[in-house]
Amino acid sequence: MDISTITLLMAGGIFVLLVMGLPLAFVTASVAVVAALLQFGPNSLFLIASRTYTLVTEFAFVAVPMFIFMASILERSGVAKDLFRAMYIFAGGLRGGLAIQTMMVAVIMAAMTGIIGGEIVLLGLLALPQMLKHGYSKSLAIGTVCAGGSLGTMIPPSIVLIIYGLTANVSIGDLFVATVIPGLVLAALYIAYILIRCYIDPSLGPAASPEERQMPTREKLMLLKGLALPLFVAAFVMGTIYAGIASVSEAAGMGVIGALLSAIIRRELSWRMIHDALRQTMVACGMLLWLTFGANMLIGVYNLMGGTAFVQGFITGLPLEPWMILAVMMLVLIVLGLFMDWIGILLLTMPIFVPAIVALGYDPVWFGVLFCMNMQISYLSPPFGPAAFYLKGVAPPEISLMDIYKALWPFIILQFIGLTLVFAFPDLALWLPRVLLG
Amino acid sequence: MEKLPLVDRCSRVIGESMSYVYFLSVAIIGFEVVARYFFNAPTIWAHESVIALTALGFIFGGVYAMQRGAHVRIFVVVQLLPKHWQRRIEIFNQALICAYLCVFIYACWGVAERSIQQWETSASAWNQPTPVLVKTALVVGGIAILIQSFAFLIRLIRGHSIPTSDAQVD
Repeated sequence: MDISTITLLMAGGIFVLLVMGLPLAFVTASVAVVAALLQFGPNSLFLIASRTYTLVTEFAFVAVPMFIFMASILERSGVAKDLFRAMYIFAGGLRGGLAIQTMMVAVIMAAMTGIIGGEIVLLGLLALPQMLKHGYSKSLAIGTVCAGGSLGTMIPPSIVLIIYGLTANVSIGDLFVATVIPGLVLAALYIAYILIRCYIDPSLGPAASPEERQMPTREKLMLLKGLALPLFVAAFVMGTIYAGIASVSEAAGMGVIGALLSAIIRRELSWRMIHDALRQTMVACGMLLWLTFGANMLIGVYNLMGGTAFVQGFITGLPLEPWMILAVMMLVLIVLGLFMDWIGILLLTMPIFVPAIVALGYDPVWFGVLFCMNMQISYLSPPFGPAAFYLKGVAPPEISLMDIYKALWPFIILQFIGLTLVFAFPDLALWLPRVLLG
Repeated sequence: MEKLPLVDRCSRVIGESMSYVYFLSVAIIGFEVVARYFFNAPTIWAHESVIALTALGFIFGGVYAMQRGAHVRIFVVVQLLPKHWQRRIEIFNQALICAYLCVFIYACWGVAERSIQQWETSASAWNQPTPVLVKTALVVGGIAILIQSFAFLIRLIRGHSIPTSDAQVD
């Protein structure tokens, strides 16, 4: 069989099994096994098993459970609550101040965690009821929580970027530095949007009354004290990575220690909390890693057949300008994002896309940032926006899934603008790594 | 706590007890960083033992995620079909998972067997048989998922339901 027929058969097999509801981890793995058996015979199975062993002992993967563990501990501590209260001092008097405060808290939380879900749940529990109580527009409040909470994987650390770095063979440190400015650009777009909307129509987000903002100075200082340690943890983790002192995996491990220490100082740490955080880490990693096993097998087998070279030749041979090819890839990612999780999209498309964009002369670090921004859209976009599902789980019952999706589209447009900006001006992503890391 | 079938309870116990490898890894990383930067005495064992420990966590996380119904899947298309078709497809899926796991275990056993026979060590300063440990764990972890999947398959054939990712709330 020639490679184009095999490609079609494999793609068809993957599609059918996916639609049938087989977990993605087993879709990719079983297609890989069948293809290997047919094309190379039973001995190739041992090659697949060896690849899995190599993957599971990759040092960079250690960072994944560490960051998830760290986030699970922070989620279970009162850090977010304190952070939210402290920000109230600064933003209370502005129109839409509560929403802006929520966005700032989201950015700071995102700098401490690298996953989505937890952050949206926290903001949904803390910020959403506050905004609704103060007469904020339901849509604005929901959109702020979902878009802000999704920044967890955009602002480093980020699980998405770690897995991208491993898949694309790009330095994770570079990716983390590169995504800082684009992440802040997104947050700035959200804040500008909130300000403009509330300036035009104050009823969307009324300012807090002076009495409400009254708080003794001593109390204010107490609030700031509670914040110092978690912020130190975030700065410490990112600082060690940027300064090149520790590897990403070690820095992540130290981040866990920092999170545990801050929980001890706050007198919140218990075995129960550690046990629950570990369970959450175990489920998330078991899912992520077995998914990666399957995709790794599939890519390995496909590569051996010459498939990757075939697709790369096909893409670079298209009668299109390089930037148009890139734009088509972005479109493909957005469409896939409507139906699939980021991890599935990453593992299935990046092994093919990244070599192609490198052959076209683009920087894979920049592409990683674009991918990450794209996944921000996928979190919000219906019908399968995970952000909406996370929020639905904790939102007041009168808020329906339909309300949530209706609230999200302005933010999806903002994300699209952000993506276009970084697409048009690659320096938004690449300037900081150049300056910091040379 | 709800009463779970024996197989499911075993999967949970495996998952929850093995999750402490991550806690241990954190402790080792902390020890190594302090030893290296404050006492200028890096260890030769920290790096490799953390890799081996987290690898064990990843491998046994598979059966835990399976029992919790946490493996990512696209469910909505199947939900559009009539109930009896949904059930048939579910049974087919679960049977396919079992078949794949048999192949996976066979392949991993081939790799592990050679590693055990040669008593393969990590060929580093520490030079411990961590490859034997992790390669054997891949076989054991595969068998654990197979047992859980097979239990799910039997449950589906008998007309019971199994956990799906929709039901998974932490």
